[in-house]
This record gives sequence, C-alpha cells and structure tokens, in this order.
Amino acid sequence: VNELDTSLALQLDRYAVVDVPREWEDVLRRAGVRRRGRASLAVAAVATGLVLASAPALGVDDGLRTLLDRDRPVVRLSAPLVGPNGLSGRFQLEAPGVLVVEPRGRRRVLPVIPRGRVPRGGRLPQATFWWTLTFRGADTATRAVLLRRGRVVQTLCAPCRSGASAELHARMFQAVPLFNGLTSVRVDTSDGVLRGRIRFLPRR
Amino acid sequence: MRRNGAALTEIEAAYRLNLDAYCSVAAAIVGDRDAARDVVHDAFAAAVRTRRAFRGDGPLQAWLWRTVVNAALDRRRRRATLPVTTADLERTASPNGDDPSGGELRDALARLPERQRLVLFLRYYADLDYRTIGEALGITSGAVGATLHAAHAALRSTLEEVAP
Repeated sequence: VNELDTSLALQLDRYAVVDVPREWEDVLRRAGVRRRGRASLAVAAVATGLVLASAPALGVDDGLRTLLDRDRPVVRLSAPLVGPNGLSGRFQLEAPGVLVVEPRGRRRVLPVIPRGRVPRGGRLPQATFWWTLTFRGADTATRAVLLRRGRVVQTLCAPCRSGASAELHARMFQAVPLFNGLTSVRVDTSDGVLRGRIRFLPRR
Repeated sequence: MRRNGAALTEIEAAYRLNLDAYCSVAAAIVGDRDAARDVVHDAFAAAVRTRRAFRGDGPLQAWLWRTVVNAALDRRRRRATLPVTTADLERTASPNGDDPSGGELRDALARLPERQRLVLFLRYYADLDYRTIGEALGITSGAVGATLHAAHAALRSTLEEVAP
C-alpha cells in the first residue's frame, strides 16, 4: 500500500455512506412483490400437513413420497416385440423427468410431469422420453411407429436400424395412454412386421 | 454453469450485506448521498423483477453491481449533471470529514473520466476484485487493471503538483 492508496482510501472514506437502514420490504414493494404473511404461511403448513396425513387413506402416499424425493427414479416402459419367421425385439422408453402415481385399487396409473409453472402461451408442460429400439432377424426396418387404436400417432424412425434411439416429447394427455397399455409399437421390416404393446414397468 | 434465475433470498442477502457499499458507489456516481438509497432501492427492485433473466454467466454480485451502477448512471443522466463536479462531491462528503489534502484529491477525482471513477469506486468502496469489476462494467479484467493504473497515475500527478 503506497501513500497514494492510503490517501485515496482516506479521502474516499469521507464520501462513504454508512449505517444505511436496511428496508428490504421497501425494495419488494417497489418491485411489486408481495410476501406471504405469517398467517397464510401457517395455513399453507397446516394444509400440507393434513394432505400428508391423509395420503395413505387416499392411496397416493407412494406417489407423494416420490414427488418429495430428490433422487427421483427413472421411469421405464417397455414393449416386447414379436413377429413372423423368428423376428423379435424390444422397444424401451425411459423418462427421467416423469413421476408416476399409482393409486391403490385402481387399474390406471397417472404420470405426473413436475414443472413449476406453465410456460407462456398456456401450453401444457411436456415430458421428455428417451426411446431405444432393438430387434433381431432383420437388418433394417423401413419404419417404426407408435399406434393408438390402430392409428399412427408418432413415427419413431424411417428407416431404422437395431439400436436406434432418440428423444420423444409428449404432453400429459399423450403420456397417459403410454403408461396404461393403450399404445403399441409396430416395426415394418422386409421380413415381416414386429408388434408389441407398451407397458409401464413399476418399480418394485 | 448456467442457471435459471437468481433466488430472491440470494438477492436479499447481498442487499443486507453490502447496502452501505452500494449506497457509497451510487452516491459517488449521482453526486447526492440523499438520493443514493433511493437509487439502490430502485436498482434492487429492478433486480428482483428481472431475477429470472440471471443466467449465471458471471457471479451474482457482478450482476447486482451492474444493475446498481446502471441505475445510478441513469439517475445522473436524468438530472443532467454530466460530470461529477466538486460541488457534487462536497455534497456527497461526510460532514465530519476533514483532511487538509482532501481538496486537491477531491478535485482530481472529479476530473477523472467516468470509467476511471467507476473502477476506483468499485475497487475502494465495494472491495471487488478485477474480474467482478470487469463483469459489472462490461470490460475485461485487463482493462480494469489498466484503468485503475491510469486513475492512480492521474491522482498521483495531481498530488505531486500541489505538494510543496
């Protein structure tokens, strides 16, 4: 530290503004942000407690526990593919960002796409799946598609090789049939057609 | 690593920890210590509103400082008091300050180019490192060093001129 530094620091210290009262509420008011009052926080805490306490009775405690779990498991779906002349294969889907609620006593499962807010434009949040297709008995397939009620809802690849994989984006209403056995896969090859129904693989 | 916005609690923590430094720099830029707190509160309100735009390309501290410096420069432009004058700095000065060599240094500070003054204020009031100053002002660390060196040289020259 030389003489100038000391002198400059002393001089600048004279201009320093000190002990300014901290008024964060004023900043929030200027920003147009309203903080929740203690009363509303208490109400929210009580409501959350009630929901958690009654969750087992509703049969969704596992789902809630999964929602609150930071290390969310990867959700997996699979379709064994069978065809003529020894053709076989497997179609697999993984969805790391999707949670699944399995209400007790119900046959259907409910995929949940956890997102903090709906993006601008009001479009529903999308889930990202990662699919992989493997097959034996044919070199290539002319195309692979997802079907629902016999109609093509998504072309996966055309042409396809065994081991092909890619991302698939689906909104909530598109994901529900996938998880409930209402969607199937069809793979067209020169040696025949492979088919299989997609099933959710519960974590046990 | 890129981020999706800054947390409100992080911004509040920075406000509570460094408010005096923010106000000191704002007062030095605007030339009015009474307006400094108002400028800083406006700047933080803007930071709170736009916190989701913070991508974490640099430290949050630099982003907040840039917001405060820009708000202070805007306020000064609106006041149309272009360079900080000696009178402005007098008004900024603490009433208890009494340094016999202060007058010359104060004049020299007022004559410095704006970038040199800003770098000096951020270095001495906020105690920021070169990288953070650079990110706050949109210049490189090397430019910060060179600017600080030039400011020191100008002030040293002034002090030598007035020395007996």
